[in-house]
Amino acid sequence: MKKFSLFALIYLVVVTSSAQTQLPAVQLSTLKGETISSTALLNDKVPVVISFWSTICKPCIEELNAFKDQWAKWQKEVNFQLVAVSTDDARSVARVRGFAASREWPFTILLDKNQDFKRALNVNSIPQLYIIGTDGKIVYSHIGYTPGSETKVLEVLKGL
Amino acid sequence: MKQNIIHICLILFIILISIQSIYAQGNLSGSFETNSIYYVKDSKPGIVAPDDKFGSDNYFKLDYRHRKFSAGVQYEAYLPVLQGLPSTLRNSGLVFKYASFRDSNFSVTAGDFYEQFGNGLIFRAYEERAIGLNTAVEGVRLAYSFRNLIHVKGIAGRSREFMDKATSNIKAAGVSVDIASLLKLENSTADAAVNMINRYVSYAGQEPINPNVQAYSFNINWNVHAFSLQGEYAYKSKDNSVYTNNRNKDGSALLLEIGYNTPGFGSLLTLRRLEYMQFGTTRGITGIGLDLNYLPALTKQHSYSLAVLNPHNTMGNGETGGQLDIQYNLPQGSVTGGKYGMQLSLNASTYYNLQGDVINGYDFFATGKTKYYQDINLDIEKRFSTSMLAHLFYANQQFNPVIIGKESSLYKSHIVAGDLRWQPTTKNSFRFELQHLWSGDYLKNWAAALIEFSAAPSFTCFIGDMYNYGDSNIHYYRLGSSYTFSRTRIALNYGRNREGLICAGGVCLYMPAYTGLNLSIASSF
Repeated sequence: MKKFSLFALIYLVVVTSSAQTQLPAVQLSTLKGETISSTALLNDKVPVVISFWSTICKPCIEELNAFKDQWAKWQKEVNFQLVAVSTDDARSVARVRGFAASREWPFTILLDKNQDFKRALNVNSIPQLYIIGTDGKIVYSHIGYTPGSETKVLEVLKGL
Repeated sequence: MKQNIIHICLILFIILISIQSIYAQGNLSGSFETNSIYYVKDSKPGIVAPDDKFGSDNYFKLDYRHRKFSAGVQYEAYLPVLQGLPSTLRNSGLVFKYASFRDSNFSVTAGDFYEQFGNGLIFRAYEERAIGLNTAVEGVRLAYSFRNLIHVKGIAGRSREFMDKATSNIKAAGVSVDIASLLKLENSTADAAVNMINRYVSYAGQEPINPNVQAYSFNINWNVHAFSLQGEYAYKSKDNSVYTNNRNKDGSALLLEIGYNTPGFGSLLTLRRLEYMQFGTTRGITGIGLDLNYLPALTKQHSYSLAVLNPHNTMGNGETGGQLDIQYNLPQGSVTGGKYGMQLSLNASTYYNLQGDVINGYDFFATGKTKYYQDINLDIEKRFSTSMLAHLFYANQQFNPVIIGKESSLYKSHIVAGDLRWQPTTKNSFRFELQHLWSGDYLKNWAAALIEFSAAPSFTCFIGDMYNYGDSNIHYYRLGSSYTFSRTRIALNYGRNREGLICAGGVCLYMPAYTGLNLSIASSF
């Protein structure tokens, strides 16, 4: 059975060669409790940067603060939307709104309370960032944040 | 028989995927994760390496999507499971498989799925790999939305119990209504939800045990301007189980979260009371991977290692307390904020037992005399220049070891920590961290230091030590490195790890001490 399972999995990878390129449709919540579909993020027809974070992830917060610092400058250079998807669960999700308000983050914050969106995009660890083109295809992704890596995001956005 | 069914499902799934790949442009995605440790012998007391000196947890997940259809599997292999994680996670298998159809207002899933009702007080099925937890339900899930105003969902199935299924059947349903949109309220959002769950475990003995246990919850959420209110009340019917000490007692839970948030300021007051709310997948013991509901410790989760030596672990059968969280940004250009502003985070939480006893009942508002936990902490974040960022942290903690089955007392500690990030060039940065814990109780004093170097966007390495002095005088040293490229991260660490509670999400697991080499690879595609 074990060998069979392994074979089946390898077979699946081989027969279907197209890797994940499309944004999956998953229900998310806004900070005020409204339900929104992940595909609605594409409605504005501009590239979307999706950053998975949580209130207990220090590098995630550093990354979002770096985006805030660059926000005004980037807005003049490229047209894009930034969505910070919180993966905080029932333990800390209520802290998210105050967390974002006090830091005056200028971008959209959405909640993924039971990590359905995180799972659908196969995110293993956070922070993980995706850049989605206007056609809904994933054009760039990166795990982790090290100071300075936000410059690559701007570079990719400019190339779209 | 069961093996045959799995074979048939798998073959059908592969045929379906093959047909789809030929006739349609589907989308395949997935992830791979391995966490392996090679344990080495260590002469220090309490540090034991398992006989085979090796542990490896592996996960391989595949999802296929084509328009409104999706299907997937998750393969897990424990070769063997890492020391300290549930030993019932053994061997390997396709433990998660599903097929799903989702329309704009309707979805149906057959197979395994995750789900949460309200805040999880009565039901949450989820995965937390770091502690070997997966309570996915195998069965059917249906959800329907009426004009995005009324959402209805129902599930029926069996919870996963490690590599097997629980011997219970669960049925659950929930309705939530968007009141603000329905009543066309302006400047506010409001919704209310009602959820219920039934757990059936057959019983053929002579005791007066009801095979059915029901739990209900009512949830409200209201936001107007800067103000927010979220509340949930739950009731659980009589439950004669090992985890209720066979008391055949009904239970209840109340959760209130009140927030006030304006630009530059965030606040949240949380109150929670739990009475006999442990809810197992069966009538046996509860614990990691054996709970139907989710009762996390409502305290701040710290990133400094000395501030998480003794974390709170919820007493689901009787606990009352709360948490206050205030976040304030001293604005840029102000006298106190300086050129770059300053971020203040104040958090305080405390939890007690309930007043009363199981025979005469518990007081709803009063707290008991046993303090379980207290944590008062302040975090200051200050940027000095474009290349220098500092954090200063203080915590006053009180931990009662009664929550991990020891005699009631209070371990009191003061913790001071700080870190400085220095970014001399656009891509290179260093982080220096220092911590100290003062305590006259249990293991007495601790000190810790860490240096980390990062080269954006891919490389990091660190070396650190955590030293206990006054009791064991053991150094818990660690060094490691990680490299990321695109959606893959590889990390290699070596060091000595202390014993203690490891918490992931809101659930904690007691891990034994070990010394070893740890390889982690996580990749998604």
